[in-house]
Amino acid sequence: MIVKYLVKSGMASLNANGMRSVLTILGIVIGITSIILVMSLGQGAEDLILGQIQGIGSKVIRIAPGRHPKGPTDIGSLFSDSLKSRDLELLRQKANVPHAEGIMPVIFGGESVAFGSETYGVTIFGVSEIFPEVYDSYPNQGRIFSEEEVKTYSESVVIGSKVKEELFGNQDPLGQKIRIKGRNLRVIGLLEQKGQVSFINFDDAVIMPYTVAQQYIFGIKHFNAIVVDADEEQNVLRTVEDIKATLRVSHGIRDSEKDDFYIETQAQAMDMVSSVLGVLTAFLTSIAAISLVVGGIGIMNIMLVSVTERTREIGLRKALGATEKNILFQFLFEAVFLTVIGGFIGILFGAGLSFGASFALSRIVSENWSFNFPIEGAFWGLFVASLVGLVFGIYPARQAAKKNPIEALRYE
Amino acid sequence: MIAPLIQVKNLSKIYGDESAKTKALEDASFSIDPGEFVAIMGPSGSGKSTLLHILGFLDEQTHGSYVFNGKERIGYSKEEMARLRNEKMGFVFQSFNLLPRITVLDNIKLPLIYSDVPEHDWNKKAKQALEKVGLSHRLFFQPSQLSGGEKQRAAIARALINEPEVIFADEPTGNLDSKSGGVVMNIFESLNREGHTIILITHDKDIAEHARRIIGIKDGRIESDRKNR
Repeated sequence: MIVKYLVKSGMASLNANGMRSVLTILGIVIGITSIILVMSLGQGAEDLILGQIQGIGSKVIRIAPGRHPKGPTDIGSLFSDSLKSRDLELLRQKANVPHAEGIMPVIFGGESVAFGSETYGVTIFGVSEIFPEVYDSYPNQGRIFSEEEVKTYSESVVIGSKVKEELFGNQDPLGQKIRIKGRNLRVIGLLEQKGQVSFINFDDAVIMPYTVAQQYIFGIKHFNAIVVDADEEQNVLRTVEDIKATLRVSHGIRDSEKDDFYIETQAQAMDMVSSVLGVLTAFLTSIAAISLVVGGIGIMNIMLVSVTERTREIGLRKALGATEKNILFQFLFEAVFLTVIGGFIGILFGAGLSFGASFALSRIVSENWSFNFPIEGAFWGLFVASLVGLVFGIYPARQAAKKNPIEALRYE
Repeated sequence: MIAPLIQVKNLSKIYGDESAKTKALEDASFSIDPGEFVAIMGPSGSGKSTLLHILGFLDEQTHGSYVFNGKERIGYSKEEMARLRNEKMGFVFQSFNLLPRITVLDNIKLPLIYSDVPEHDWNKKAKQALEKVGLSHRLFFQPSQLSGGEKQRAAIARALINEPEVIFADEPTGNLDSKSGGVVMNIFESLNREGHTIILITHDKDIAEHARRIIGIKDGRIESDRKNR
């Protein structure tokens, strides 16, 4: 049998029932459209979030105090003050962690800041002079504090763009003094505006030497985190092990189960975000796929109607020498033909809608939102569409093939 | 002596079960040689259509033997029968049975889809068949644009396309006026002269007169079998 003539007769029957065919494949169109849309937006969200995490650099290792949270009851865990100056000194020794390029303690917490009569709630970050390199956030006016200033408890701060706007308006903030917890701190730098990067928004932050944050602002002796920048990406895993060994010696821990600190790398964070978004996308895609089943039932229904309507044609074809297999194949082909057309239209609609949605999201959510056409998803969509045609077309096609030619020819 | 193309013996077709039997055909026996032009004539309900359907492998007898081309019917598989219908038999129906919405040319090619004829010969064969019935000027018409006589001539061309040994015609002039009916019958006569075996069923005595042998059938029984002309 020659496919060209199958296509011809399939097209003829499509044309004969134009509106009916359109309605029949609508289920498939909607199903494929939503699958493409979900996959495209899922990919867009993943790219955006991963892009933000990558903004920090994949060589960054974060050490946090306390036990690694293993479940909801672990939140607010023990040993939250376990990271101390002694640890910082040990980590800084080349012999302990040879591949650490930079080591920076981090203190953070919320405080309100005042300038003149204006006050504003900010996040305080107590860090060291390597802050700009670690977080890829540089002052675009003024400067960051120096190593010397960190050591000497210099009350100098760098402020985020939002903080500047709220406190100073159009005034020049450089050289002005802001008040936090009754202390006067001098503004020496202004960070460039970056928005949210890896769940941190430095636009709303006041950056100061960690020594100052510990001593004057929060009155603590420990660190909220220590950030280590590895020299090469391939040395990250080794460095993680070196850090663990150093801290265990420092804290006198023999059993790794009893660690009072935990370590996160950017790679881990990216893996986690990827897998969470992957599961979410798969979940939404499978919901969208339900409409394909509904669409498939529509196809089956209309194919059964078509088989009945074309009983005479089936009888004639058998009289002219068609075997049961020929008839089966013809009707199966028509069902698959319908669903594949539906699949194609769905892919076009899906691409169009995702493009529109991406455009809107890039305006609303983040300008870094990019349009992704899921090529793999399109192939899968077509594959699934033809599968739906096969599965739901087989029963009507068998009905057609089994028709007795005499009954079929007599049918009016 | 040539071997008969068709040989039936005590052929019966009974519908229904023991309690309500309908004998559509009873004890029919005859044989038809290649090249014959036979009319099976009888009133409606006489069983002539049933007989034709059995001869054309579209239906199955309940009793008796039917030998086609030297082989008993029960010896053929479904696929072999489909192949014989395709290659050795041509069918012409009272209601033409052309597929709507495809052209005359595509209608005529329909049997070729199920044959082994290579595709590059299809157009040539279709045009030859259309020439024989005088429809070469209607190649790309839709069936709905043809007159009744033209439709039946297209259907005959379709039956002819694989150069079958036998053409079965079921009341081919039943839906035609007498003039186009005459044209159709002339075509059958000339096809017969070219060597095709023609088996035609009709209730019309004038139509039957075109054949060279007339088998009379009534209430499922063969009543007469005579040479004509």
